[in-house]
Amino acid sequence: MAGSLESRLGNLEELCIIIIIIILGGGRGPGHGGPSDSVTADTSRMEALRRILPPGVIPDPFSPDIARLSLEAIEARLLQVNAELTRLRSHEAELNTRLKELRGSKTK
Amino acid sequence: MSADSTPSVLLIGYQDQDNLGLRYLLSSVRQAGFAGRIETYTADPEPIVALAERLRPDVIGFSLIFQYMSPAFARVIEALRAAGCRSHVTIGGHYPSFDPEEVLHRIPGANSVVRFEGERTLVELMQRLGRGEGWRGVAGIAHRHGDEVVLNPLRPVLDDLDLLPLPDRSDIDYRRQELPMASVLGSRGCPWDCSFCSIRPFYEAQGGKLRRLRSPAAVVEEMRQLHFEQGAEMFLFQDDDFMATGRRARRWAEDIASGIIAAGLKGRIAFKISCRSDEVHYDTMARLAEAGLTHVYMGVENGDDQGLANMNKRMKASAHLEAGEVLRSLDMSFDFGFMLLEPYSTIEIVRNNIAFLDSYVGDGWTVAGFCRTLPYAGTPLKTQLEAEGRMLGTPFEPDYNFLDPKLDRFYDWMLLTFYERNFTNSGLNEVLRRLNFDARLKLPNRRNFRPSERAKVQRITAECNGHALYCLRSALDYIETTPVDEIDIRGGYLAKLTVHEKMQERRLLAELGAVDAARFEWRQFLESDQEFRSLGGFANAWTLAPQDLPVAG
Repeated sequence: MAGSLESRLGNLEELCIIIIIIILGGGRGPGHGGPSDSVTADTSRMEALRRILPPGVIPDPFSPDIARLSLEAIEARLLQVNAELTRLRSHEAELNTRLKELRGSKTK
Repeated sequence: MSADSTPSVLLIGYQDQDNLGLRYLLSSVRQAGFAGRIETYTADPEPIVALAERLRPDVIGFSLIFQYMSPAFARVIEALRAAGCRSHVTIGGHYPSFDPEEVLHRIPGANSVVRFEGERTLVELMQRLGRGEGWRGVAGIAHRHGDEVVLNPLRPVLDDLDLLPLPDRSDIDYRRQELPMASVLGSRGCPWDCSFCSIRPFYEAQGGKLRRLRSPAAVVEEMRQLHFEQGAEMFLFQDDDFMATGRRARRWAEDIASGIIAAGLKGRIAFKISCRSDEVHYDTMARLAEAGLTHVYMGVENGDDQGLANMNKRMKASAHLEAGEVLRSLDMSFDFGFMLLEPYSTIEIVRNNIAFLDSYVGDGWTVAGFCRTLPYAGTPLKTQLEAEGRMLGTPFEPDYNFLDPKLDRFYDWMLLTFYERNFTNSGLNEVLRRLNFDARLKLPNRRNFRPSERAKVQRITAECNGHALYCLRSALDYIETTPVDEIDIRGGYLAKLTVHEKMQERRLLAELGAVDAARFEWRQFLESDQEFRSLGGFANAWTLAPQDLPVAG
């Protein structure tokens, strides 16, 4: 059992290292000293990734295991979720209106 | 008798939206050669007592619009009598017309009640008092005879409204208002017999036509004078139902629109009307919009077909949705009355009403306000509830229980949660009503809303509606599945919903403050030299005085 866990952690660690190598060119970012590896320092890919996930963006949190949540916790979470959905829906509508307005003025 | 011996009347009431009822009375008594003036009602009797002592009018007439205000009016009249006032005190308005016995019983300082349409009754009352004749025989009044209240025969209504002098507005300076806003009446009466409404019984009592129309030319001439001579720019049509009586009414409305355009008022003024949603026809509305119509108030009342049938509205909910689309297509603002609960509501009907509100105004075109039906004096509903033994409360503040006790709990929770939002002048509902009204106003020489500003207001309104409807839906689901004696509206889940709603309201109100601030900064970019009016032109369009909004429902 322990061996299996160790093996899984080892695989995970290996995967992380591969990802770091691909993205950051061996874990050495600019300014870390020494000439970088010209093959793995794929700056164009880095730029592309940064565009997808700009610095500072907080990814969605993991969904909690709702089977373990109490009734009160679910009620509270639902209130939060609905408030956010309401905000986002109305914000989307506002943005769409503005988008139409801008596109409309462009075509004039 | 007043100092110069011309019999005089002091008319007291709310001055909201010009109070045309009082102004028609004033012009009628002046036309008959009497003196008169209007004074704003105040709950504090002192200013009224002081004025009465100074003027010593022959008659003091109170305009009692709101049934629940009767005790407050009684206190003022009591103070007048205690100060030695010997004027004849009479009371008029919808409620006293229907319930003169109760009014005269509870307000011993009053001498009489002028019932239903009062112009000619008040004039005759003054004529008789002026001549020192007995006044008890005046048609249309109620008065005491010993312990009994005598109801004199009613006088027939005036068939031709054009015979009435125009409302006396001599003391109003519209040019000093930020948005000069005048009230106009194009017609009186409504043929519909909705169970919760006393308008039809009010006019039906005196016989005659259920809706009388002024001539379009007379209406337009009044507007022309108000605009060119007194500076009015916004007109609030106070007609009970501007579009009632089908094709005839549409032709009449279109004639008014044509008259406005022909009089050179197009582009210079804006106006608002009230009607039912099944009377919103595109062609007529488009013509009215061309003449300056920017806002429509609709008596929607219910969004469920059975709920509408319970109210005897004689229409389907789909008509509301169609009307909303017509008005959106014409870029008009609208708002509406909505009774989420009525005495025959079921949980299913309430659920459908919530879903209806979502589909009707979930986009935030206007704010969703909601209340419950009250069985006011003179309404068929009151008669019906009395027959069923369901009337509770007092004559001045009627009440009832719902057929399903769970709905009583739901209503109590709703009141607790949405009281500030729906029934106070600073609540989100009222603030957004004003903003949405302003957002689609189009007047010359004024800073009108930009599309992006309108979109922002609409976004905030959509949020406001979304949060409220979610809370209503969640509370109803909870109450439906909870035994009635376990429903705690001040604790547990329902309390959490209340807190949640109030937090959302606070956040949105704070954001509206930001809208205000942003608009203030934008003033510097305005090309017009005109002072940009502050938000809230619609405040003047309320049918209630600010201090009464909280309790009006």
